[in-house]
Amino acid sequence: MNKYNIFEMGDKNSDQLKTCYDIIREKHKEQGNLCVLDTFTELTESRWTISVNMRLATISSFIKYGTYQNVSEFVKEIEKYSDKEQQSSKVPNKPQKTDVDKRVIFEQTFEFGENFKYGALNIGGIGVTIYGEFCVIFKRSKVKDYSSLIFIKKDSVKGDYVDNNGCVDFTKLAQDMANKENIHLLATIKHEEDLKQISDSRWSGMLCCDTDYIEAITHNDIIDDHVDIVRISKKDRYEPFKTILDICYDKDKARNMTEKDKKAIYNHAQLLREVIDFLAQKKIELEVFDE
Amino acid sequence: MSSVEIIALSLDNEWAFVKHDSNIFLFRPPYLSSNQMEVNEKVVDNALQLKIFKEYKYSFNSIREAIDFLQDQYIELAKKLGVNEPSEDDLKEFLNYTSDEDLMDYLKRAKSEFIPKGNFDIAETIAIDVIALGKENRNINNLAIDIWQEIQKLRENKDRIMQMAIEEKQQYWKSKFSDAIKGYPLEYVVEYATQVRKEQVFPI
Repeated sequence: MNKYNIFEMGDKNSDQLKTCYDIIREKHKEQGNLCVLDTFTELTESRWTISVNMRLATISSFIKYGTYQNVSEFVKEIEKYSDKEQQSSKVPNKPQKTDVDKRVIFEQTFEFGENFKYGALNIGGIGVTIYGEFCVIFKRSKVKDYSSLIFIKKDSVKGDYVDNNGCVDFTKLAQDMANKENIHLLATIKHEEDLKQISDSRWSGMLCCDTDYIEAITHNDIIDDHVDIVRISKKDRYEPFKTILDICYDKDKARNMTEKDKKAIYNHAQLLREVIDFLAQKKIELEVFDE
Repeated sequence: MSSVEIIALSLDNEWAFVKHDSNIFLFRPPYLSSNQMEVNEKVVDNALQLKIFKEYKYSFNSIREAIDFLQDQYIELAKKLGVNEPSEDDLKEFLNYTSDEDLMDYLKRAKSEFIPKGNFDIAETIAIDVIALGKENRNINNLAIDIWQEIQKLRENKDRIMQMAIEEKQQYWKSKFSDAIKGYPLEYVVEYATQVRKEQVFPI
């Protein structure tokens, strides 16, 4: 099967993005909103980077081993582990999957697809928390040096780029892509209408949240040295240790917990503590986000 | 009987969508009630579409059973990641990772709840553990020291009251058996006298 180069596709869309941006700019000039539009574009251009949200086990493994695994690599490793577990018959049965696996089709369509690592455009905030409570922000300087980096207006699987029959809509995809030089234009085109309703203090959340984000794809290696800071919510940072305080000092609360509850709490706190210590050792700031 | 079902699990079995009757919850480690968040079906569909969760169908008789199952998986995962069971010292070490706000809350509870209830030992442990952390936050340290000093005073008061009660009791026996105590130590006299049964003139 002939494979396409997604990064070249993104480069080729640059002229179209610039034209589209000029039209939008003219429109906002006529409407008297140019200042807001320009501020947003400049802010995105000066602050953009990529973030990847990770769960505790994922970030723990990332900083321990120093390399970030993409979904395929991660699944392979977990499946090895799960096979052993299946034999002990404790893992529930997966229902038979009948629908098309859009992610697999998307990755099989493009060169290096199996090595794609996915992130999101980030200019601040806690990222796409459905993927994990830790929002790992990568250094702009490192990301800018990636030989392969492309942005897509929506998530590549959710954004209707692959239909239910497994066909990739190349026309739609090509229009919705930007390389790193033009990402601020793509972001402005996507959100030009939202800017009228959303104040500048909430722009970072608008650009990257659980329900919407601009997807970033690279096949470069993502290593721990590329990490700038890690953001986490106040609740996720402190609650596990607060629960330990309850176990130590509040007999009533401790009495209501089973031994398994306590073991799970200890494990969770221990993993979190390791991550906090690792980050400190590597001089990576853990920024606590008070929502 | 209510129905409980895990309908989706994250790839590492860490997070789970649990359907309880008609409501769906996202369960996250360590799966206590504060780690359960109600979500709608759209969130589950989204997570499945994004391939960050895999679909499952696994029924339980109760929420507790589902939690036990998830906790077992999580404990296994932690083991795989090389996490060891914490020792007593580790538990104290965890205090270094708590927020000043949470420590302050516990100190305030020690002052307003544990001390008035007479739970001096637990209040004192909290105060000493916090002082031992050597926090830079002066308010926390000052409150911990205040609590410790208050407990010492209360204990001294308690001891003094006990001492007074003992002395009062001794005074009673001394006045009652003023002649006997001239020849015998007070404790013998008290012991002897308390052995005297009712309506008995002399002890047997």
